[in-house]
Amino acid sequence: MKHIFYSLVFIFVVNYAYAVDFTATVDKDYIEVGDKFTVTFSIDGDGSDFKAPSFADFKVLGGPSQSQSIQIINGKMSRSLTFSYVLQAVKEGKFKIGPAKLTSHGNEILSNTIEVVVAKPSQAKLNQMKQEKDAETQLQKQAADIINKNIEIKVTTDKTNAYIGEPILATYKIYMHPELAVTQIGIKKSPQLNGFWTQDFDLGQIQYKFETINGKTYRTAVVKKAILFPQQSGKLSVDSYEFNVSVRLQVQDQKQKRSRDPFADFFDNFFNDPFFNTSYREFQTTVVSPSISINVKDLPKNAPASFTGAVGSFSANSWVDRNKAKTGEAITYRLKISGKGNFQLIQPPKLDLPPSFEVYDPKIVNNTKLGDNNVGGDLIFEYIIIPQTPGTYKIPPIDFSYFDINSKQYKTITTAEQSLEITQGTTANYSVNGTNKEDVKLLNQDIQYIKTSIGKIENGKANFFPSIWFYILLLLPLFAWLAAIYFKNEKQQLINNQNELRRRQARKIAEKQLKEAEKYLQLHDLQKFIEEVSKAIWGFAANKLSIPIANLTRENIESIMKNKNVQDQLITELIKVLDECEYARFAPSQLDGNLQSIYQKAIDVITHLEEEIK
Amino acid sequence: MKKTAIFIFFIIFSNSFLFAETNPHQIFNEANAYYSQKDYTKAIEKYEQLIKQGNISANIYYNLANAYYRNNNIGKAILYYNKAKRLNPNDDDINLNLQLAKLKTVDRIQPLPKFFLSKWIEDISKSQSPETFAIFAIIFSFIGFGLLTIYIYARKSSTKKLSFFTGIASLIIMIAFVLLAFQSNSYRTSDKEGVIISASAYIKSSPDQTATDLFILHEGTEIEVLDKVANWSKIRIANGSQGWVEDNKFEKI
Repeated sequence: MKHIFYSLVFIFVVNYAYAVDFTATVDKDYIEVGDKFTVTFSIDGDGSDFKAPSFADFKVLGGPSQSQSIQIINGKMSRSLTFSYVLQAVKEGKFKIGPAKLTSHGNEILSNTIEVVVAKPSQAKLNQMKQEKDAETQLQKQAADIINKNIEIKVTTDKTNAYIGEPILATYKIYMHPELAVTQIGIKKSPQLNGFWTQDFDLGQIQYKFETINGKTYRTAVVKKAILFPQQSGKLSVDSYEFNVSVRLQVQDQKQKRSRDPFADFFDNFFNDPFFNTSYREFQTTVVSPSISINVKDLPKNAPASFTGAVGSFSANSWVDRNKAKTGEAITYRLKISGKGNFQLIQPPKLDLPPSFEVYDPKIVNNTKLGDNNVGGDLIFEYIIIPQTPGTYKIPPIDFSYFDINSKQYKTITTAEQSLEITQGTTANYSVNGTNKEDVKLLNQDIQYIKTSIGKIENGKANFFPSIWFYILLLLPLFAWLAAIYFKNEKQQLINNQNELRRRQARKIAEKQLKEAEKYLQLHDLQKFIEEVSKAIWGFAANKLSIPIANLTRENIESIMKNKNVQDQLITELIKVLDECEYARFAPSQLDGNLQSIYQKAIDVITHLEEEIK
Repeated sequence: MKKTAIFIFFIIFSNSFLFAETNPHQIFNEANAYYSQKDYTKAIEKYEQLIKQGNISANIYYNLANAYYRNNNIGKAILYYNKAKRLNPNDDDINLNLQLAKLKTVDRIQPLPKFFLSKWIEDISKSQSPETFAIFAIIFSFIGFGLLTIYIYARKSSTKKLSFFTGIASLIIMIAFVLLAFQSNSYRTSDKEGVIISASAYIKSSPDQTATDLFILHEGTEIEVLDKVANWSKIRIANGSQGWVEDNKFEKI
């Protein structure tokens, strides 16, 4: 129930809101192309936030103009609000205007939409429009002619030959007929100034003057003044500037002028009297300045290393705000360059300070301004430097080079060297800027404590290393070794000598033994005889060949003899004798007659071997 | 009469004075006491007195360096740590403190890259005293020639072969130790190494006050002295840069 009630109330309120009358009207029923008409939006009551519809099909000549009226009829007050636009029809056809929007009592309300029919213009109207247009064009042309005939802009430069960086003062001056009422002059288009860096003078309000040239009086004004700094060599040109000039001219009323009626002419003339019927109009036209060309020469080749392009006349000096500071305290170093010239090309020089100084990028204080024909003043570079470690340091002198325009020579100014005395500040902040991993590990460590014992005192006594004792100990084993070699050789020598002796006495011993054997032969002691003969042969072989008794075998004798190049026949003979002796030992009875021959054979073998083995 | 009295008094006084002064252990203990009381300036005075009297030991140098370190005189600290290290190259405390002191120096010099073998030899020869190498050389001399003697007398060919090769190897090792001992000794006796002790020192292009400044060094930077003209020395730093510096800016190790 309650809901329905609220709904009813809502519907009532909405209906009431729509009841506000918001209407759009047009003041003409018949509209031709070119006609002007007024569209009015009116509301009874209050409204705000008026939003006009689009007038895209028309040309808006005026509006919106707003008016409000309050009426009291029979003691009842009514209020109305109107918004009106003046439009011109530009093409024929059917067009819709609206709706406009308005907020009234918190509701957005819309106006009605109007349909406007624009008819084809009549021939008479077309003619009139064309005439008006032609007359206007002609008037503009006439005015431009008059203005251009009476206005001229001239450019003067203080020089036409200049070095790169040398300032050139260019002045643009307007000359005009003294009676021409120029109301405004402004630059319409500036040329692209290739190859120049310019600095314009602020002329402020244009000052007009009267000048007489060749008997003619002109009203003149400087409209532009600039200093040009050429930046490249060659024939450079400064292209034309275009100036907008507004001039107020006297114009006759067109309507009267248009009439060809003789009477009307009479009246026209009468009313054209300047005191009566003339009107003034402002015309705008463009005046172009001539272009100028300047010969720019290269600077001489022998520029010093510190030259960066400054041309003019300069002086430079440097100073520090204090020479003594503690670590961590800021010191300001200033380099001041003063004079006249192209300051814009002066770059802050790099301060060549040890790495224990923190140097910040310089702050540039520019106190230069445009002078009569150059830029003058001073430029200060302020370097903040913060010393990190104590010591005595210097800020090396700074070379500043420029091309002196008066003497046409390069000049170099060397500023004074500054010395700095840095003492340890309160905070010992050693900059640790090159730490590697290993360093970082150690950073928080403190040094080890002192040693409590004085240790071994070195009192100039020679060290063990380069001493004679070192060499003795080092070479002792060498001598011991050499001695060992010597002893071994001695022993070998002795053995060799014994062998030699044996070899020499081999035959003698053998002969002695053979003689002994002979005795036994005569005694017929066969056993003993054989024993002595074989002993003699074995012994001879052993002595002659230096074979120890232990190694005495038939094979040994054979191989050693072969090594000594003994004839095979002799070797077999020797072996044969030895075999026979052996045989005789075991069967002595069979050898009876041969004993003498064995004896002889033994003597022969020994004799031959003695000859063979030397 | 009065004169004599004064004279006698003077003699007695100076005697007792001299007696106190000449006992190095006592002075050393006094200096250590000052150090533990954090009176580093007094401690430095005492240690230097010891050295002036001709008492030189690695420990005195080390303690003096510690006192300089505590007094924030990093240049002198590094100088004396280096002196101590020369006398006792393989002491851990000396090496650690030297390393810590070097961390506090300003100059960060990128050393020239060295051939790995020469760097290796340098490191080894600096790590021990020449005597240590000398003793090793002698030991290997005995081993080598002993083995060669065995080689001479041995009858078995395998024993002969083994003793010959091991003997020759030992002698090669011996020669290496002798060379290391010489190298180590040359570091110990070198008068070419120095340390910058002035807070900052400009290194000039020639031995002349007006010469161009090449670079700047700060206290504690180790230098190599190459040449000397009047009171100027030509020096080289680890990155190979050379220049001239006044003699009062550095001290030789």
